Amino acid sequence: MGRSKSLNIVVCGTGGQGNVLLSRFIARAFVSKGYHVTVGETFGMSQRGGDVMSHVRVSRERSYGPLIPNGQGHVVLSLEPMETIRALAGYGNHEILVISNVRPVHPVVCITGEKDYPNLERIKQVIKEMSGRCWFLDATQISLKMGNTILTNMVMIGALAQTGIVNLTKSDIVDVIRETFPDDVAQTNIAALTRGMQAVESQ
Amino acid sequence: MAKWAFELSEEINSVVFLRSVTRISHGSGAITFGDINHLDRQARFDRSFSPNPVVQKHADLKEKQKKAKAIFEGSSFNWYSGPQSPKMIMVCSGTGWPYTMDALELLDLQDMVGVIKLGTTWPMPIEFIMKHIQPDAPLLVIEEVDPFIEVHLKEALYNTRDGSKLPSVYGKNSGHVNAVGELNPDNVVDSITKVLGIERQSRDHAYSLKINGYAAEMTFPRPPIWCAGCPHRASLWALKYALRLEGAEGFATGDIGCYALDRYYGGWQLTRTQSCMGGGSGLASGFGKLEQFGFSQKVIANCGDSTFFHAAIPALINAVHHKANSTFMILDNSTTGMTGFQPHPGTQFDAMGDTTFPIQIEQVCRSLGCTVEVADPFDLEDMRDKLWDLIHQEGTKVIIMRRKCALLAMREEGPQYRVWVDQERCIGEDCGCDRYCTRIFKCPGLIWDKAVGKAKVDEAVCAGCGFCVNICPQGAISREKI
Repeated sequence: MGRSKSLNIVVCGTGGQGNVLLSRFIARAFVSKGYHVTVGETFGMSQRGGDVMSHVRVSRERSYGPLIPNGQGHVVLSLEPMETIRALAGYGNHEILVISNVRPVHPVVCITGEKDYPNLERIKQVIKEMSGRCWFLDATQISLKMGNTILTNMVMIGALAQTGIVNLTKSDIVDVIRETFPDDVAQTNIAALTRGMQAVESQ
Repeated sequence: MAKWAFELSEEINSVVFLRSVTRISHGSGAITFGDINHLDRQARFDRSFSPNPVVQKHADLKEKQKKAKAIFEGSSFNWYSGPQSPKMIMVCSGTGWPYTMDALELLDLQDMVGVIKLGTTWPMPIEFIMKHIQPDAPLLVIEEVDPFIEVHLKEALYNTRDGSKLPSVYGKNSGHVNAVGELNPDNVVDSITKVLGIERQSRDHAYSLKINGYAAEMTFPRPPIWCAGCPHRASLWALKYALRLEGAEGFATGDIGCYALDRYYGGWQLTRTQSCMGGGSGLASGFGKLEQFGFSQKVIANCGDSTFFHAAIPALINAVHHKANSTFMILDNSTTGMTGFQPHPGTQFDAMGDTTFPIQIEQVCRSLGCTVEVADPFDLEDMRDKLWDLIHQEGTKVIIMRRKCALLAMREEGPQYRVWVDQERCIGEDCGCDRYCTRIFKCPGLIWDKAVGKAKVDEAVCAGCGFCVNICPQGAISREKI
């Protein structure tokens, strides 16, 4: 079967991690560069601990549908390591590029003790094996150090900009941040973006 | 299209529905704004309007439909794209269209398969469709929800038969399109390959085998649960306690809102029904009248503050008026939590965002003459006592569990407590509690530290509500006011 001609980005994580805002930021940055962008907004329970996935589809040619076909992802930007595996199962392939947060959010079956959260090193190993290239960072820890886990998504988008795997630069994203937030909030978000860039700089 | 729908409504003097299903409602894309027509009109009811005579009105409606159909036949929202002599023609509307375009691109069939895109589906522009179909090219209908176009297309083709050959029509009814759940591009690929009898492979088979194996081993379902710090968890916790202590098979009738998460893995399944908005209150009102048939269970209607205003008041009035033995538990988190914090009549903002006076739930209930209690879900003892007392009283009673939604509270006030587990005190697996805090209470902010076999607070998730200090039999969970 052929390859999808749009750029297909999967943004995934768990409810409450800022997945929707993250996909909208990516979308808006591409729109302001003149691309056709469609976002399939969320899957699952956006704020209730469920697994959440957004599809961002980008093209110079035309508007694509809101869902990425099976196995047709180009990039996974993941806020949670178990969710990276889930995204690869749906949309992965040998060439897919992955940027993944490594901080687990425990599913309720792990909280109750019914299951153990999988070994993190093994998750990383599987992601490495099942992708063309991957980058890891502890975006949650970085944002906790900055004082608020709400910044995790901005750290992740910084990592995306640093890797250069899609046509978005730091300044493209800074523009969207400035359009969205008042000055002081924008400053904090830009700082988080910069920390995210630093986190994958040497990888 | 929305703008044109308004114009059409004016032209045929009728309601026009712009139908948004599944992914249309959960998707977004870049649009270019057009001009808005500002009509210089004053709002005024036309007193010449009359709903009667109804039979004549029905005849008028038929005429309007004829007029709409004539307009739709030439509408630019309907088009054909593809080859002159297609091997098959896809008939699609809504998200069925982009999924079809994706599927044809992936299968590289754009030069062989035609596409009829319908923007206006009813009245169906059948002459437009007939112009583009060919007897030897089967029609495959891709549409969301029920097979509406498929059925009506078959009917229209039947009506046009004149002895000449007609194309086959495939869709959900014929079993060629997945008829359950949401459509996606992969469903459409499957449907095309089924009709054309061709093989497809979505991606490298070895990759699929491997990643699906890893996913089966390393990903677990994440059923929706109450957020860390959610007052509903505390309210339902008190109800669980009351019903267990009561021991007489009591149950709750549910509604649609965050408190319905009691039905899922993170709750305790005290809630046994879930139908429409206000449905739980109506059911509790009915159950409360079954004593004459030997019914003796305690019944509690769960209902949110927004649902109370929206749909539960008539049921409560009915219960009071008929002296039904039921307890109405109104979980007032001061917002419409599940759908994204919309205001409601109990909040100080109206639907337009303007400041207004909030209507007090307790005043509404007391005006009906029933017993009303108000409790704070984070005051476990008080809430539990009030609930226990109320469910043992005869007649219709109301308890309002009032505490702001944790997400709003975090946004507006930030965490109230720093919470931690004193791992010296927690005796882990050896404690008789059998991991009460994590196995039973199930707040995502409390996790199990496998390395030491003890509970631990996940600082990235904990909302700092401090409620969990109530539940540890060892008193190992501590909090400190921030």
